[in-house]
Amino acid sequence: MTRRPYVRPLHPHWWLRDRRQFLYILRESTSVFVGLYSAILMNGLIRLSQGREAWQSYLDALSSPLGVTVQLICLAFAAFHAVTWFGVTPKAMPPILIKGEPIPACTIIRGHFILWAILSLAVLIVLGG
Amino acid sequence: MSETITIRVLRYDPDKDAEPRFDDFIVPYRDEWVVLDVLAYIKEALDPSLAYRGSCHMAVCGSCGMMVNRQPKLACHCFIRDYRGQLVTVEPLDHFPIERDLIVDQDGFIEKLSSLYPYLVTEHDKPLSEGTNLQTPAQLAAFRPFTQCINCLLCYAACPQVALNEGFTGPAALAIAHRYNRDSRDSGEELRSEITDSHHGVWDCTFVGACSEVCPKNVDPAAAIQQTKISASFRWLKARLLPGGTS
Ligand code: SF4
Repeated sequence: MTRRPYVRPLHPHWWLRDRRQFLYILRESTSVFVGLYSAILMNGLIRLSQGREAWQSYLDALSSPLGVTVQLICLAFAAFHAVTWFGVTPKAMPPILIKGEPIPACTIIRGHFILWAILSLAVLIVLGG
Repeated sequence: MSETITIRVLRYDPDKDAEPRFDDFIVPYRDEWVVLDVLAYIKEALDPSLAYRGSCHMAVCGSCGMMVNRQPKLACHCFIRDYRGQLVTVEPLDHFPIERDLIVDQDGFIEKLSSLYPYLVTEHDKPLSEGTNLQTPAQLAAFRPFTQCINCLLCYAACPQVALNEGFTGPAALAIAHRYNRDSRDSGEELRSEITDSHHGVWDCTFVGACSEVCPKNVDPAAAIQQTKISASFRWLKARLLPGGTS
């Protein structure tokens, strides 16, 4: 009897073969779109520093159909990113005990959503007003 | 003829096979059978050479972890009635070298676990005359869920980082380290931090979360690892900012 452990190679499409792994890669790939949107905002700052005309052409580009589509895609991915991360936040923090009982995971997740809504509303009010 | 179910089992005989292959077995269907019962039937009635591990039949010993239709499962916890009418494919746990048929080589895991001082580390031996160590319910609650690990290794089979980084310490070992770190009787966190805080410790983890989803004992290794990341970050800061820090 010989010992000859066989190592199976990782399947080249390992993340496409399993729903859980696919969702994980999707979550990770959202960072590309979050990064893209940050680059768009940075570009806005650069254009602003270049004067009124440059700023206006930046605004025009943002409100063009292509600009709106890109922003909507970024928004969708950023929202997915936020929702998936909120879902795992209870794991990322040490248990908080209240009267000796840990706060349930769903309460922590809900708290994040409520805070998100409040902050978004505040931003809208500040910018809109 | 009474109802049957087809089980496709990965086979690998290191004496004969260059690489694994699959064998199909047609076995009687029984409502109350789990995959482990089917394997026992195959071994007794169809092919005595089939090799697999199993013992308690009640999700306590952690021996019968395997892939069932590509998902890491305890074979004793996996009713074939949930796969009625389907082909059931049984393979050894992913991300481990295959020793023979459904048995994997666990040496790598055992080495990683041993390197983490997986026991209570105390500063000095307490004489028996001082009596037992008392803990409050809150002190017990801080580590209790992490004591439930049965070393079934389903979490390693679920984790893509285990597959991508051979050196990654992995979910169960890090959860067990966390279990002792959180124990009020233990003072071994500093010792363990050499491994837990290293690249192949918690930092190879990208928080996939699959380990906690597949764990049959609700250990939540993903939580243990993220909490260790927080402590590791504090240790890192402390070593750099406080006078007398190491670097
Ligand atoms: S943490 Fe859960 S899945 Fe991993 S070895 Fe322990 S019991 Fe099994």
